[in-house]
Amino acid sequence: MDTNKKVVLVVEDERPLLEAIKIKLEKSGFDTITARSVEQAFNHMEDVSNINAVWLDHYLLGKENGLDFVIKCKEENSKYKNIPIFVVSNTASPDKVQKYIQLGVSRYYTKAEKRLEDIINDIKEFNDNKCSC
Amino acid sequence: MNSIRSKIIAAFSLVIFLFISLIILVSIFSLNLSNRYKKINDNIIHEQALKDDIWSLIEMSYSSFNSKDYSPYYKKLDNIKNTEDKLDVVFGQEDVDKETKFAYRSLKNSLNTVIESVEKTKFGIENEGEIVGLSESFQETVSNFEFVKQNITNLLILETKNIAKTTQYIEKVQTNLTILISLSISLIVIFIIIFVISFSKKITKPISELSLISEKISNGDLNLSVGNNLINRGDELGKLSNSFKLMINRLKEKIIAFDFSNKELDKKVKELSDKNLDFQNSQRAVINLLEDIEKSKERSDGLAKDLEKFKLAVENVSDHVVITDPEGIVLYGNKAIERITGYSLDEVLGKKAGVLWSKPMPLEYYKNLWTIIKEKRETFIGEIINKRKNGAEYQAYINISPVIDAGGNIIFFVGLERDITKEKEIDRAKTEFVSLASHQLRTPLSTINWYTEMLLAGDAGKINEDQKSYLEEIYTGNKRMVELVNSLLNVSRLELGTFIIEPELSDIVELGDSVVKEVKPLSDKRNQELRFTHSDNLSKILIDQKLLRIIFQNFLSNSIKYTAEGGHIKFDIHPVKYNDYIGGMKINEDSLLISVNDDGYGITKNQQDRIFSKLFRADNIKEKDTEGTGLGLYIIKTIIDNSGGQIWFESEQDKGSTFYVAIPLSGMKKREGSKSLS
Repeated sequence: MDTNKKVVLVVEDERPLLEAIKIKLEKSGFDTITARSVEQAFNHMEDVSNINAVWLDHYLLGKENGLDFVIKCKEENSKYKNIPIFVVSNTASPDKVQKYIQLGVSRYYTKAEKRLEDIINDIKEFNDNKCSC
Repeated sequence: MNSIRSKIIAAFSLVIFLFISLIILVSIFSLNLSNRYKKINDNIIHEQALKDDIWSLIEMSYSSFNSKDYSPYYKKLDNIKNTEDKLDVVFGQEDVDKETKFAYRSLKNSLNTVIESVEKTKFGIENEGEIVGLSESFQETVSNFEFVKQNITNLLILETKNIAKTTQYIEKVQTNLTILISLSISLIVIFIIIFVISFSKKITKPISELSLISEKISNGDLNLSVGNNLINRGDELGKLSNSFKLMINRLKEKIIAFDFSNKELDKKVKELSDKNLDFQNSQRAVINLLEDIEKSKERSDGLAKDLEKFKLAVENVSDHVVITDPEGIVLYGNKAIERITGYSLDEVLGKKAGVLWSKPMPLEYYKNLWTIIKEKRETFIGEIINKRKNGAEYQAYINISPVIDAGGNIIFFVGLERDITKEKEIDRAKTEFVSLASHQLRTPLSTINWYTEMLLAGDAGKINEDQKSYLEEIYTGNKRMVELVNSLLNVSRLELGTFIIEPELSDIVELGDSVVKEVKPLSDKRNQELRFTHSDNLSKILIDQKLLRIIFQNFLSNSIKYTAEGGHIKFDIHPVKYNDYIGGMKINEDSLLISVNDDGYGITKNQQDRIFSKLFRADNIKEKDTEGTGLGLYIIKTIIDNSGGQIWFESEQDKGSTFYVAIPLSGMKKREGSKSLS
């Protein structure tokens, strides 16, 4: 893996979507690691130390969902506390959005309304500016 | 006593006395006279008897002499002696006059001579047998007898004279007596008459005086006095007059007292009649009261019947109902309590409500509950988690109200609880379903979206014009699908009733600007003029920003879509007042009026009534090939109807439309739910 490239962990259960995201991210100059469940995601995080951002869907394989992932990440002594998380999900229920935002995710997008490009641009910007928006 | 009675008695006694005296006098006189008469009569009888005797003696002497039977002769002689004795007595009396006495003496002498001679003879006869010289003695006797005869005859004549005299005298006396009697009787009668007249006058005068007085009294005139002449009499009338005087005085007193008590009585009568009036009024009032009581009784009977019904209803209603005292001690509970909480009524009654089954909530919740119902005396409505007897937790919707009496004191609490666990589950299920459905629907749409995006961006290789245009169609179609899915999800949330309205104080102009910015590219593309106007200094208003955003977006995008290129759209916000008339609609309360006006295709009159219906799109715009789900206005109308605002429009085909929304200045009404619309 090219250490100059930023690494994005993509956590998404739908395979075609996962593929599309991976392709677009790589086309935009990111390295990607994919996971389809929370468990998988943490395993990858253990293995790969320098994850720059997380692309997180809400509904995932397995019992745990995106919220559980964020909760685990943002635990007190977690080493993943400061990794920016971008939640891209199709559920737009405001309580979920609230919860994610309260937990400290960087952004929340509704999949169907956002262009892939735009989301990725945001991530880029985010990385570049490193602002904790 | 100088009494009338005694006077009358005296008078009568006098009269009687007089009468009696008179009678006595008369009797005495009569007696006297008759005595005299009798005496004289007797004398005459005796003398006559003597005469007869002598005459018979004389005769007898002849016969005796002849017969020589001398016993009858001697008997007769004895008789004569007896008679003589009697006559002695008669003529011996003093009232015999001298002449008569002399005559009698003569008689007597002669008679005695005879008697002597006879006796001599007799003696001689008896003793010597035959008398010498009998015939001479006889002759002597006979001549003596002749002498006697004469004397008697003289006496008788005298006596007859006496009788005549006496008779005269008697007659005289009788006449005198008669006169005397008549006079006396007359006098007595006169006396009686005078007495009666004067006495009666003496009596009747005072009596009539008294009767006059009593008449006056009876006529009510008490101004009189009984004369002293009457009072000072010592007799019964005097007493009566005194009594009258006393009586009059008494009467006067009594009348005064009577008048007084009459006045008192009048007063009392007036009081009584007032009281009577009061009493009648009271009576009427009581009757009315009784009628009211009857009515109340009927009503309360009716109420009791209703109460029975209600009691039955409450007993059997499916919600848990408790009634407690002001401290929360359960006084009544219905059957549902056992079913819901698992505790029997016996276990629940007499204990504080909820102490058995409300455990899992935080302390503040219960504190807050009590504050609201007891101190603020308001109804507490909320949701609570309780625990059944078997330990299972369940969610309940609770409504506790204080019941306050006329004095403002809490007398009961009425608590209702509904086990909403199922409802919540259903809600959750609905929400989950919608969530899931939206997710499931959106996922493939996202896939199409992004892959198409990548293709169009040339990520899979360069594409030619045709490929580009086809892909663009796919992309557009997909976008419409996404929009449709969104709208459908919103509609389903609206229909499921799970959507929320969360008003916050917001700057509506800012929101308007933001939406205008959003839709500007669309109107620019169609060369349309979009102008946003608003009043200055609009204060913040309670609105749900998300929802208002949807409204703005919908109105504006509708106007842009359904107006020809080069058209004009005016978006305005300004306040309006209660009772203002805008666009044919009366404003219900002071509001902010949002209006979006265009000069576009308009809505035909015959389709205007269906504009707000679900999935409805008017014919004239369907022809124009424009896109639309037919759900937007339905969604907006539902939102507005639920938030307390007004929504309406004016339109004319091919002239344009103006859509209005009025939001009360008091803000949108908050709505509890589980989801907001997207």
